Amino acid sequence: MSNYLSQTELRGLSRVGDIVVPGGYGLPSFSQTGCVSHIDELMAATPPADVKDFKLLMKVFSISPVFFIRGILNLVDKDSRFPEPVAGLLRLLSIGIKGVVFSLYYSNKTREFYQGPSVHEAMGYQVHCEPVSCEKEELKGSAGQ
Amino acid sequence: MADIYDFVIIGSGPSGAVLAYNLCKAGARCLMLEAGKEFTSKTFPSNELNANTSLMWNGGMDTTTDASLLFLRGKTLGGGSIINQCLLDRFDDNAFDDWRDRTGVDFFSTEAMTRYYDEVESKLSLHTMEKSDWNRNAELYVEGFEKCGMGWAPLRRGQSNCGEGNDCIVCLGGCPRESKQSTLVTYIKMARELGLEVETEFNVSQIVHGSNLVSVFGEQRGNTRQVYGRRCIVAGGSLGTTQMLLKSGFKDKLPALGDNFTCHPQFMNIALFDEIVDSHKGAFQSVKSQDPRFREQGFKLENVFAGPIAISMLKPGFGLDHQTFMQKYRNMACIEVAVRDATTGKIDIDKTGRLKIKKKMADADWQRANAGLQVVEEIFTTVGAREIMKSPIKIGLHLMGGCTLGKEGKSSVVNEAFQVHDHPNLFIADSSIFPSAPGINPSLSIMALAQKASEHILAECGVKLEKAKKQQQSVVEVQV
Repeated sequence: MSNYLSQTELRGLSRVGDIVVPGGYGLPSFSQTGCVSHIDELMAATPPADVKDFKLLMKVFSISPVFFIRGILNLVDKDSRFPEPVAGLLRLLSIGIKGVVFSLYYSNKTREFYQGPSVHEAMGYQVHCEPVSCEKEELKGSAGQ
Repeated sequence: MADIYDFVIIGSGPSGAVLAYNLCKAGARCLMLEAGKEFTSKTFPSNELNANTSLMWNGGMDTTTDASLLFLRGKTLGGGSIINQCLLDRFDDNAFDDWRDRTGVDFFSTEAMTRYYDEVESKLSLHTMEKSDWNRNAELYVEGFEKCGMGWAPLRRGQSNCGEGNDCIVCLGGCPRESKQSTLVTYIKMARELGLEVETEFNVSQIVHGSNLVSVFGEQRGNTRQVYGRRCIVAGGSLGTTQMLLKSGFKDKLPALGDNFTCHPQFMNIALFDEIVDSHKGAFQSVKSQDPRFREQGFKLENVFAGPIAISMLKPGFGLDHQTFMQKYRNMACIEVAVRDATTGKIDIDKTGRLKIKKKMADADWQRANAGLQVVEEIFTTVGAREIMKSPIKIGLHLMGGCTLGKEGKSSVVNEAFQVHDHPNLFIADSSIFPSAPGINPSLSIMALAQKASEHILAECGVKLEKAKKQQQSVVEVQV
């Protein structure tokens, strides 16, 4: 399933993902969408040293009690209350954890055969940009009618 | 015998592309190297995640060493011009006067730069946004500005045909209509017609400067590569260019290399309204602040928005509270404070060659940011926002400096002829040469400076750009 993360690390990511994005109010949870199956798309663009650190963190999260993970997540947003370099470390953790979870979840990607509500649909996010070539084809089509 | 080009150009953004076009037009044989992949209007990723990972360095997650600033920089053929909004403004007297004061370089003036701006603008399709382009976010922006008695103006954007009913936020991941005037559809396209050769996914590891030849070493799709040019132009932007020179060991001879790094730190502020705003629809950026009081105080206000991933990153917290916020995506309006930073940082590398960027926001920068944030709060309150979220996340856009232009070798890297001090075959004309943060979107000015640099570089080869244009034939002859 992943060339970068082991089964244990993927479990850690799903656990932290469900705490960050638990689902509700019409939105699915992180693990319901199966967006974790797209983790390699993110890891491929990440520097190898950062991938190594992320793997270690996910390994820790895979066996940590929920209150510990919640505690870390609460802490990373309170960087301004700490002196440097602790504050910097908390900011890096925030980007590393929430950056990955939010990127996967709000990308609207899901596992194959997922049939639940789409994240973008539930948010009402829809964008459209018609390539010029399609417009030309449409014009051609209507001209022939 | 190895193939030797007249010019090897590293980087394909606003600087590299303009130089490539002018040098090819003068008859030079040029090779452009780009670290990223080449996409076309048909192959640009449509998903925000894939756009981040395919078009940006480190998936759009570059930070300072203390993660206090996030940087977005392009890694694809066309560089930053693929992922930016193509807002093309000229620098004003305020910006150029500051540069002239700092460097003593006379051509830093609106008057001296006029003909270079004119030349570049003549090659681009420019559109000044009209009222019919506004979406609701822009309407709220203007309403707020007018009620508060603040100055605003329409934005000028590089675009040719955005059509009807399209959502331009899509083109932050590459324009599917070839409307946005990125270098891919303008200068690179023109340069290729004149013979420019392009190599993508080429990661430069070292530049070796010789008296007659510059050797460029790198890796391309798992293979080591070497290419040679009689001259080399480094155009990888502030971070890229500086990193390449640091990795190549130039610091010993260029003590100012890596110094004077600046950017425009951006603070995005989201206001929630009872009505549907749909800030992501239509031309998602069409007006700007134009108030001399803001310029004086060192900030400007951007009418802007972002995709779901970027917006989710702005809001602190997690869990249901965060999801509830995201569910109001369609009710969000946004105004961004862009600070003209006063405090310089430093670009360095670690033992592995990875960037180490040290950049703090000092008291003066915070005063500018807070002045802007207060104004945003006033505007949003005036137009009836129910709730205002000031994001703690700071995004550093418009990365500048690291190879500053100046007269003295001790305090600068590049001379007035855009030549690296004591390295006659090496040139730089990208944003890394900026002496300070101008407080204005830099893209057009990078192109204008590259236009000027083209003249200097060709003059080095004994060619005048105007003459070369008239002759339309191979005129660059450089003896090895």
